[in-house]
Amino acid sequence: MSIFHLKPLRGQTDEQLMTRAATGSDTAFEELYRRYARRLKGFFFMQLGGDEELAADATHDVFLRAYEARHRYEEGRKVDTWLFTIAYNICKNHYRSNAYEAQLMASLDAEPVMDQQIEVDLDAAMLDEALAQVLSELPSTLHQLFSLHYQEELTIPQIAEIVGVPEGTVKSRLHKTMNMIRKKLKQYENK
Amino acid sequence: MKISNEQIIQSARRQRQSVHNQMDVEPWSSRPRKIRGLAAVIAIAASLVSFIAGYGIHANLQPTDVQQPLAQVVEVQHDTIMQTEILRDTVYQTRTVTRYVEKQIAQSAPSSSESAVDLELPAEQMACSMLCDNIRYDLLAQP
Repeated sequence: MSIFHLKPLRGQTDEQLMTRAATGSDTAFEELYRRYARRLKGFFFMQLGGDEELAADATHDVFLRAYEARHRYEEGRKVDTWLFTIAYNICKNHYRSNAYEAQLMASLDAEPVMDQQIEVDLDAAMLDEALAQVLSELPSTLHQLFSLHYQEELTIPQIAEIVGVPEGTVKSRLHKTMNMIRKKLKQYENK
Repeated sequence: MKISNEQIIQSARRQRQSVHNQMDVEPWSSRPRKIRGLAAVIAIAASLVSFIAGYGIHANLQPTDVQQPLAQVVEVQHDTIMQTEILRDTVYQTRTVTRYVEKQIAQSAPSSSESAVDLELPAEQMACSMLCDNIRYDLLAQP
């Protein structure tokens, strides 16, 4: 038995908890659920059109898959990356528009990264409302990318692992997404 | 006001925070969520059906099926005697007839006929009876 089996659950890292869960501790898994369920549900709520019931189902699905695969957890692998990989795949399956999305991503990746900065003149109070609308109109792949990086605060290497593309592609897509957002926000300037 | 990328990111994080605060999280269960929901629906439906069935059975009960409390059929008759007789009208049908008759008053003195019986006992038998009550058997058995 390693030393972290003796520490209280709340003081343990996600990876230590997952290693414990992999050896049969349901309480360690419950602690992971407590840490991530709200965060994942919020992520799904924003990605799946604001449907709370759907978000609850998807969140439960993530943990169910993780629970079933807990014995295969590779020690040291980051738990948040693992959980968000499952979440990302659930979103991808939900939209079932992979052909369209793949085509969109291929054309987006083919475009050169522009260094232009689109100026947006907007009242700060208006920004929150306008951005929520703009994000919901983004292609789901770009919305997820933006959300994973800027809202869930995952690193570029983590996102590259989740999405399964090189880090450079993640960076260029994020840059293009930001330009797309600015362009769409511009429509709200005179409203 | 010119909007910077940083302001967009901050706005996105405010949105995320506001959504997270709205989210209710159920306790963890390793059972599929839909099955749990289905089980709850089945349990509610089963209890509703059993309630309706029970109510229907109760409403269709004949008054004769309901057992009356015993206290309601007890009648105290001080001066009459209740006689119950079952009469058979047909092979399949009987009826119970109840009659109330006046209670006969018990006589305090023995009747004259009872006294006469006593007097008719032979004198020898009475004497023997008196003796046998107080004398040991072995003495009586001696010639």
